[in-house]
Formats: sequence, structure tokens, C-alpha cells
Amino acid sequence: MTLVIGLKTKDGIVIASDSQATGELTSNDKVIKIFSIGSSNAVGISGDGGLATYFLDQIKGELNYSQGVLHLAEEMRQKGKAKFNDFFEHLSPEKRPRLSLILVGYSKEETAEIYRLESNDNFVPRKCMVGYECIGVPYIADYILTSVYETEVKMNGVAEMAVLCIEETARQGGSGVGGETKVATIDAKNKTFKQMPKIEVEKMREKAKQFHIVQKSRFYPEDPDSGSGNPTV
Amino acid sequence: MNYDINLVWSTLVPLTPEGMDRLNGIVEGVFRISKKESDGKFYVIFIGSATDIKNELSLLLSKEDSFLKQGEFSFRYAPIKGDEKRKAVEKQMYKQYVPQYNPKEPISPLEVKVNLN
Repeated sequence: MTLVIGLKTKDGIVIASDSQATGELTSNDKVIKIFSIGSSNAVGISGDGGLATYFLDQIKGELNYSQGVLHLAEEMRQKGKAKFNDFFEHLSPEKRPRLSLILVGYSKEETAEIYRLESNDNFVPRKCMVGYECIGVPYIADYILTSVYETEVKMNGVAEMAVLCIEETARQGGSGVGGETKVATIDAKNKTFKQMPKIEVEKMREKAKQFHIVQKSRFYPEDPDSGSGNPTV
Repeated sequence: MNYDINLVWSTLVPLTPEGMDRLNGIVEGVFRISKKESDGKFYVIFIGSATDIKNELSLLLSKEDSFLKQGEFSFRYAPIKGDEKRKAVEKQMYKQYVPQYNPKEPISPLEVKVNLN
């Protein structure tokens, strides 16, 4: 499985993902799940990785990047629906492979936006209303971000949140989320897509390991009746 | 439950000079400090280890900006020899309690299962 998170910040957009892919017989932890679309938009994918990459390769060349992310979302809806109907006309909609996409970028009015598109919903874009969007295995990330995300946050802080969400999801095991964490940013000033250096992401992963539920000790009061009056080795 | 190390823990002792006098001589081991909350129970706020627990507790109490200045505190300790083992127990205690006044998880290459009561 996958975890891709897109987040809006005061000074830009952050998109992050894990890089684990699990097949029936094999797994690989070096899968790219975030792609730039033009210089100032990006898309994150969850689902059948090979299909998602081929699908993006097919439609990327046909997209008009200059009209802003809203226009791009609508183009992806139309082309996504057409491609899926073409690829899988032999399958009823409920039997088709499923793809989820997070599209991030700037509108013509220079507002940061995030859209979520699902293949099983004919790629109808859903505009993000809370500042962040998660696809794949979103439960832990949604829980953490509900608690810590504020719209006043800056890109570095939100990148740390995204890394924490991916680390915590991976740490729970069984989620299929793992491998190297990838983080990319699109800053509000230059509107340029940039991959965050691996060394920076590693520092964030180390910091995330120190994350704990505060006041865990409240569940473990000291037992006043236990213990020895004369403890020895 | 099977433990890698079986510790003998002390009773809960008031963190006062009289309470600390119950430590006979130099005791090497691990300890934890708890604070009495409004429900009357003691909750762990700090864990540590030392080659001389009494001395370490005295140092913590005497610090100008000590977190032990206000409230009612108690401590519990378990003798254990060897720095490596002590750090491993400290790490396990940290994971269980995530104490308010320990800034981060103690570093230890050992993963041990140990009784905390």
C-alpha cells in the first residue's frame, strides 16, 4: 500500500510519500509515487503503481500546464475518464483497478490548491477543504494531522508533519507503507517544484522517532502496595 | 510473563531527605520519580539511572530550576549493576511512561524485557 500526503502552508505546498510497493510475490521499497506536472504542479499516486505511471505518461503530454491547477484538475478528469474507459472497457466499473491521485499546485489567481481524484469516481476532482489530503492508508495521518495541522504552518514544519505521519504509519506494521520517504515542495514565491534533499528528510525521520503521546504515564499510576522494603540485586 | 532481567523494585518512597536515607550506602541502579496528582495517585514524571542513586536524587532536588520544587513526589528504585543493562532498563521505562521531564529516549543498543513493578 501507499501513503501520499499533500499539504498547504503559508509559504507553499508540500507533497510527501513513502516508496514501498507490494506485489503478490515481491515487494520493492524504491518506488516513485510523486511526479512533477509542469514546473509548478505535482501529482501523487496510490494504487497499481505500474498502471498509474503508464496512465500519467499517457496523459502528461496532453495537459495544458499554463492555466492553473483548477484547469489541470478538469483536464485530468476528462482524460482520466477517457483513458480508463479505453483501458478497461472489458471490465465493469467495480472490477477495474483503482487509482487515487492527489493533485497539488497553484490556481491562476496564485492560490495553493489540492485536489483528490479517484478512478472509481470517474476522476471527478474533490477540492481539499481542510488544508491537507491523504490517499492510500490515511487513517493514522488523518488522526495526527487533525491534532497538529494549522493553516499558519510553514513548509518546513509541515514537511516534518508529513514525515511523522509516514513514519508512524510504517511503524504500525502491516500497512504496507515503508521504504524511503520522499518529500517535494512548491514554494509560493517561485512556484517551482523541488525534491527535498535526502539528508534533510533523514533528519526529519530521526526527529519523528522521538514523537510520543504526551502523558502516556497517566495510564500507568504507581502501585502504592508493590515493591520490597529492602531491594537487592 | 518471562523477563530477560528480573528486578527487585523498592516500595514507593517519599522523595524527601528522610525517604532517601532508606537507601543504604551506595546503590547502583535505575529509578523513577512520580508526582502526586489531584486524583491522589502518583504518576511517573522522570526516569533515570545512576551508579549512586541517592547522590543523583540529591542533585536533582538541589538544582535551582528543579522540576521537583512544587508538589509531592515519591520515587522507586531497583538495584542493577552494569551501565549497559541500566541504560536498557531506562530505555524500556521511557517507552512505557514517556515521562514529562525526560527530553528524549535513552540510547541503548540492548532491547530487554524487564519487570517494572
